Amino acid sequence: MGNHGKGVIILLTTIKYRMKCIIKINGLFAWGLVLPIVLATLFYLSIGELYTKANEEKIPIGIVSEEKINVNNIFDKNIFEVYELTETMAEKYLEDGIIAAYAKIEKSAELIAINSEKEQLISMLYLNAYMTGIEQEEIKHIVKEIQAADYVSSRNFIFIYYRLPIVVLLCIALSGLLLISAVRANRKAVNIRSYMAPISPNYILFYDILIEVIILTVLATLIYLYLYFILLWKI
Amino acid sequence: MSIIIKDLVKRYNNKLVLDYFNLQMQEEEILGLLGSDGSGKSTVIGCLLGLLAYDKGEVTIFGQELDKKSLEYRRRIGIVPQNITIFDGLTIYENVDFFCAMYIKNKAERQKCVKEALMDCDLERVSGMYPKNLDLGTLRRVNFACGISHKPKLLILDEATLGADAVSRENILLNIRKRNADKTTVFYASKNMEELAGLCDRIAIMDKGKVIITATVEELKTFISVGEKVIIEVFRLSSKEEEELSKLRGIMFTNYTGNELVIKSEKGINNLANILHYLENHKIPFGKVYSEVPVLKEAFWEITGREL
Repeated sequence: MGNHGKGVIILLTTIKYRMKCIIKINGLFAWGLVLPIVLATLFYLSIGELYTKANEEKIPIGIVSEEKINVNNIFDKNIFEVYELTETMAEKYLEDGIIAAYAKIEKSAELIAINSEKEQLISMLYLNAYMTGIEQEEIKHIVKEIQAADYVSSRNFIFIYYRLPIVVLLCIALSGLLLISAVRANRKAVNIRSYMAPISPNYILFYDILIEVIILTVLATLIYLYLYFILLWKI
Repeated sequence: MSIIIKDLVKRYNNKLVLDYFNLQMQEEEILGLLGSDGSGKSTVIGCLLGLLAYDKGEVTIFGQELDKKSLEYRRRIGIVPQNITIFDGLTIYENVDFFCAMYIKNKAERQKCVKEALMDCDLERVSGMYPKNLDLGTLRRVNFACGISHKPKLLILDEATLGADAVSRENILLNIRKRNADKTTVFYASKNMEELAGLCDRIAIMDKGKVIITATVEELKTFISVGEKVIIEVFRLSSKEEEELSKLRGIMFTNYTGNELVIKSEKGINNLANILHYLENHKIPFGKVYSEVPVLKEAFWEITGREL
């Protein structure tokens, strides 16, 4: 076996043993996982608040139809405030800004609006769902995303768009500090031996950093997935 | 010469710890460094290994001036520190293997060395166990095995048997002798005089940061001027009576504290009968009586003027 091969063996041995040492540090994984999960959950609760606030105002919408229809089948009463109108009244209401749009339902459906903003987009979604036979439940989460995004952007709170990466980074930064401190103490316990070995003084330090990066990457992925699925589930 | 330490001076915050410390060590010998707690033994080792910077002096190992960066010089040294420096998260086998891997890259050769070290230190049965499940004596043997597994040419030990049970201590001392027989030079710092006397070719006695004498065990014995030491359980003794006792022929030293009277006599003089006769005549009540022959630590007392 050449020198290169021997080097690989010593590298693998060191990584293997240091990985085991670090994983077995008392309480490290408990804290490394518990702390980010607690932080992530707190964040999730604050996001829930965001959706609630975004959902407080109902969209005024008009319906023009010669036939008698159940408006609740078209527009969710929790999101829309529906006005049943004649076409003339609907045009006037629209011009006066009393309604965001009106739907004209005959053989086909048509949405008439002046602007093309959040309200019009949501109304369009519901109208299309009605016409194509899609259940309202199935489009609810899309609507909530639109509402939350609009709520956030209207307050110039743009970084919330990157909320998942930011929270994951914050959680990982805290876990990382815990991890680095515990690993340093673990390494320090045998410093005299490693300083006296015929290797670079930074030999173990280098592998420790490598292992810390691996562990933190795994943790970051777990937290990201946890947040992502919780938010999807809530929506 | 394996080690030459010349005029080494080391201060900690203006406190002089090593005061022109000098020491020379022959190849393949076992040299003991004897000193009481705080005498500077661990500091000497720290400077010797390049772990501590020193203010003045020279350290030469294997004919070369100490070079902290020299990997080759480190390869030939094995260290058994005073503290048990192993990883709690690794088994005994893994610990020895981890430290051995820093010296020996070839896997087959390393495994052979690790197994040999474990066998020598009688650790085969516990090789799969974790340190937290082992007693101090066994941990001392593990600490030792980690230092010798790569077969160093110079073995440096600092209180290697501290707190160990008799079996573990005997095992470690036996292994030191075995390594020395395989041409390993051994430098052993300890405060256990009897242990060093049974192990070392020469003993350097250090006190207040300097070596006072370096001699063989036989040479050190010539420094012992005291004879037998008598310890008597005495229930009442006035200072006048103690003074009278100290004036008996050949008595060098008396001390009465806590119902215990300690009397040291001059070399070659047996005073026990006279002492007991005095106590009976003066109707001084006494209980148990012990007599001890002088031990080597008396030499430390003679040389440094204080107890070890």
